[in-house]
Amino acid sequence: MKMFYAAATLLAGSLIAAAPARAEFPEGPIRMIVPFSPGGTTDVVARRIAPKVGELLGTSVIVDNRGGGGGSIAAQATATAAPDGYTLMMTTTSHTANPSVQMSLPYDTLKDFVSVALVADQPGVIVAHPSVPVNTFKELIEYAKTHKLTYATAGPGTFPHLGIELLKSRAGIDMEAIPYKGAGPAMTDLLAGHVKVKLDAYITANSHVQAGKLKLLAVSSPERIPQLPDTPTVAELGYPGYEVSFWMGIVGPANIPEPVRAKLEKAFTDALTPEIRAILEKDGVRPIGGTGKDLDALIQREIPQWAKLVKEANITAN
Amino acid sequence: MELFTIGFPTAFSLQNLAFCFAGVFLGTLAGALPGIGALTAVTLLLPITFHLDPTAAIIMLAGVYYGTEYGGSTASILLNLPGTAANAVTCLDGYPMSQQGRAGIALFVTTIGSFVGGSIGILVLLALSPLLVAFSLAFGPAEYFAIMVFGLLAAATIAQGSPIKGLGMVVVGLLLGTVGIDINSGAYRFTFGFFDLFDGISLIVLAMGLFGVTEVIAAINEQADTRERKLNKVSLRSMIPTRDDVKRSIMPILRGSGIGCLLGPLPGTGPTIASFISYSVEKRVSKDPSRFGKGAIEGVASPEASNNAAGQTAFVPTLLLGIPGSATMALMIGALMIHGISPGPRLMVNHPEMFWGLIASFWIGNVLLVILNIPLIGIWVRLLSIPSRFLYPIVVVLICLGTYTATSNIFDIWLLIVFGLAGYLMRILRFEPAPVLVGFILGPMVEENLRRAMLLADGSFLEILSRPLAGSIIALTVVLAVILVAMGVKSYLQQKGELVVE
Repeated sequence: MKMFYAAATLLAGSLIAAAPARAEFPEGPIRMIVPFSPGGTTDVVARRIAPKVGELLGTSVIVDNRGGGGGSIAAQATATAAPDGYTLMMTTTSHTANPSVQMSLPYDTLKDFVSVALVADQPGVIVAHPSVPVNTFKELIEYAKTHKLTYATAGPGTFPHLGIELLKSRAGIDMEAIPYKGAGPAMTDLLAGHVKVKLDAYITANSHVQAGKLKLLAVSSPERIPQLPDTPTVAELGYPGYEVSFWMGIVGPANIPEPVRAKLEKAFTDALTPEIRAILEKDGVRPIGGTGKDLDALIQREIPQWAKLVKEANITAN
Repeated sequence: MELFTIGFPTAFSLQNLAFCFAGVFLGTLAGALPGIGALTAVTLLLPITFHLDPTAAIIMLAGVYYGTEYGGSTASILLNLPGTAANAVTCLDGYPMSQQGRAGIALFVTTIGSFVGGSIGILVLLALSPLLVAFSLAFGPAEYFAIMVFGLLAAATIAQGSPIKGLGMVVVGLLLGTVGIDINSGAYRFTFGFFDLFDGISLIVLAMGLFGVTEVIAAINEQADTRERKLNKVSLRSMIPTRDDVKRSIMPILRGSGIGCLLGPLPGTGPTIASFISYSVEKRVSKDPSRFGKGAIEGVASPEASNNAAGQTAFVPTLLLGIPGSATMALMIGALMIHGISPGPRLMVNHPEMFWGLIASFWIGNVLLVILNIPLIGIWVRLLSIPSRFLYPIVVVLICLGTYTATSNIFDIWLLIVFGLAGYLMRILRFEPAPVLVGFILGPMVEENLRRAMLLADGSFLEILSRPLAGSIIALTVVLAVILVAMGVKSYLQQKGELVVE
């Protein structure tokens, strides 16, 4: 039994990052929690900017992957960490959806976090299987009014789910949600035509669109994206204000001293140098470089939006 | 042809050769060490690949991936500790062989089986890539449901001893598989208020607990000197199989390879399911199924060939569709995306040197693995012939570390201990752990796919049955079930008849 304790203590010890802030922040390495396992877009973005942020602050920024629970496991770890600026989280759209989608969260999304920076977002695209006899987004809406259509989600309350639900409520159409565990298996069945429609990230959908395996109908961001200048947005096609994006922002536990937060904010916004922006764009990510205020505004806007939608669409069973 | 014009020249560059070797070496090591599997090893190496050329990066990670399949069998056979989940089934006959002093032969047959399986897998990958892509696309939720039910039925036949106990263990596995958020309704199931159970129980935790920790606890209980295994006897000479061994291994290796090739490209099934299914197929076709579980060489040869074949063909959907069949494959895609390469239908066209280089490296890697495994088997064996009092604490630390690196969650370490204790209890009461694992893996997939298929079919089960592929598989399952029941009844009546005669 001793070995178990020894191993557990050792692991726990290595997790508690650095000493508390005293003189000049930062005195030790900063831990950036990513709510996904390694390899996904959020993880890639975090690892792209971490060295630059570390360089600007004169310390190292360590990426710590804590997947699971739709991001709520990572959020809980962040909310309960010491508010000294040494523990941050790279959070995503699920952060604002979780309060509505999950039954009970052990933290308060509005009160337990402070926003540091809005790093980037990933434009979404609405794609359909070639067997759906439509060529434009308008035709899709018309078709959906008279035919049965199915769409793939990456699980309840995920970005592909909420985005289409928002469209359904705005356009007054019906499509049946077919849930998958993650975007990968959902894409398999979309490519095979078992499901017909999906809201997907530009980067993953694009190669299939180019290969002629999927039809590209619209983008979900408020403006057209530079990589797809000819693809209209949902908003300009008659649904002004329609906007869903998979955003990535930095938050920390509430009560981080303001000078520390401001210093982190500056480092995270300055880290998006033209060089890093170019790399991120190549990854299919749109660099934003927004401040904590920008992220706050986004969070404040999205929480009620998802709450209303979840209630209308009855997304959870609870 | 591109394989020879582009593939081998790329793979034989000094740099790529070195990374291929590093990959398979680290993979064998990771596979042989219980508690560290492909997922853990690839996770640990991922940050290094950021600084590599993408072809070298993917060659190394792929080497780690299929290298663990080879290495994993070593720990299964010598220690009854599955190095990876795909090797769990190898314990069933590999360890008894080891106890009978036939470890060398088991390891040799495994290595050759792995090599043949891997090579056949590569050939299939090469020849049938376009066809396999179409095949894996034809598999919709209904077809998945059908093949998973088939798998569950096959699982019931894996169990040793009492079939009722085996079935009970499958049900325990099914129940464990339901833990977490239900993806259809978002409801929490069996989370007992534990936040860490929202995403369900990790397969790594369950497998490591039931097989790894249990073995360590059992070892404490046994006399130290009687535990001194016949490990030292694994010399090159002891690896020479008898004529009978060779004869018994050939068909299982080929059958296993075939099953592996077929199941590898299906997302979510992969090497683990392939090894379980081929084991139960061998047991079915055997003239004397009672030999299984007591050191039957077929029970080692077939699943090992199968998981290696599946390991190779698993690259089809990953590279050509951009769809990872497993968490490890998702990491491979991540490694490519970090370099701005998105896997998908255009990969072969856009990055021929990478695609063909990787395929060529598979072969080089498989040859390297045979070299690493046969003459160097002594090193792996020595690694495992460390006295129990040193080995087992190390194993526990590795199991905990491996679990922690895979899930980054202290809660999972506690869960690991719980499953270890449960596994020990099961062992005392003579319940088999393998069916638990199968139920755990297949159960959620059966449920998920059935519900998805029902949603797509508007709630009509007849529509599912009328799909040609799904319908045929279900029909086959029913036939198999009827045969099993009929055989059971027959042997029951025979026994009864004999009793009457006596």
